[in-house]
Amino acid sequence: MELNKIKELLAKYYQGETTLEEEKALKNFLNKDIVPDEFKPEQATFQYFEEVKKITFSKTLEYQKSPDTNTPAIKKIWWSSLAACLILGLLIVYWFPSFNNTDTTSSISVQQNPGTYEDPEKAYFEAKKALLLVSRKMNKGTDQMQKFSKFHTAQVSIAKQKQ
Amino acid sequence: MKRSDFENIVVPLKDKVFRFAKSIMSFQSQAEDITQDVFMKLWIKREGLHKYNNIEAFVMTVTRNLCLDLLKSKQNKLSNFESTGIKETYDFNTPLSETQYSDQLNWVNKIIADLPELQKTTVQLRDIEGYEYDQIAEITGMSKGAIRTNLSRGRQKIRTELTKVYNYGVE
Repeated sequence: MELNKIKELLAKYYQGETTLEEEKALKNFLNKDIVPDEFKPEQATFQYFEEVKKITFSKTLEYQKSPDTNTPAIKKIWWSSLAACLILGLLIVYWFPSFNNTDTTSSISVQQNPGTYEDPEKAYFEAKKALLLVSRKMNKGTDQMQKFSKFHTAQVSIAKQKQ
Repeated sequence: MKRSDFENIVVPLKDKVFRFAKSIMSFQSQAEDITQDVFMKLWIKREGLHKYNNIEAFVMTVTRNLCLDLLKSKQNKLSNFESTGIKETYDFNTPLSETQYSDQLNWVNKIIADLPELQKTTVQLRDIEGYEYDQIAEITGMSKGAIRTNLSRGRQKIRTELTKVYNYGVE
């Protein structure tokens, strides 16, 4: 566009007489990288307008938190807390009886033989079996402890070398 | 107005509302609060919104009135930032390499922030949001003549101030 036409449009612009279309033409001219120095202020202004147009509302709108919609929200909370209580109650009821028999091997034998043994020999074997089970589990633990003694010997030999 | 209508017609105006509020108020946080308030009010009144044939203009009017109310109530207080001239500029997301460009944007921003409210409002609605004079008249309740006058003064003031900045840089 020729400069005279631009100047004419700008004069109209400063009188508040331009139409939206004429303002668009000005914008297109001024948003070019290179414009004559005399148009620098207009260029800065129009670039500013363009940048502001890009600014958006970055928060989330919370219009539904207004007082008249509060009741449904409270009702929702009430219902969900009721549901939570029910689930918690059911869990407690189902969990508690099984709480004591987490060890499966012992729990099975206890359930199968709820009373005492009539036959002393059988009782002896059962007791032996139970004690062996306990000792096996304990030995498992001491196996791991053996590794610590290695540390100890190493520590002692290092202490000796230092001396 | 049903919820879906509200979400499709009213909620998309949130950016325009925010920019308008920011142009009148000095602080980003105030503009954000006002935006929330505007939509809260509109949500409560949603049943009656269909009565307005230009909902967008109505939304902008509500925004402007809330801003002016807040300014009025603030002007009665002594601890008013407005009177001390402290104003927050926009956060433009320009890269650091374009310091000169963002400086330039901040100058314009400051000049516009210092304009009288009517000039600020008309420049915002016309030059940034691109409203027709009829719509601006509907939003502000001003006559077309008054809109032209304020727009003209605002635009000229921006030019004068910017020319000063540029000449200062040259000398």
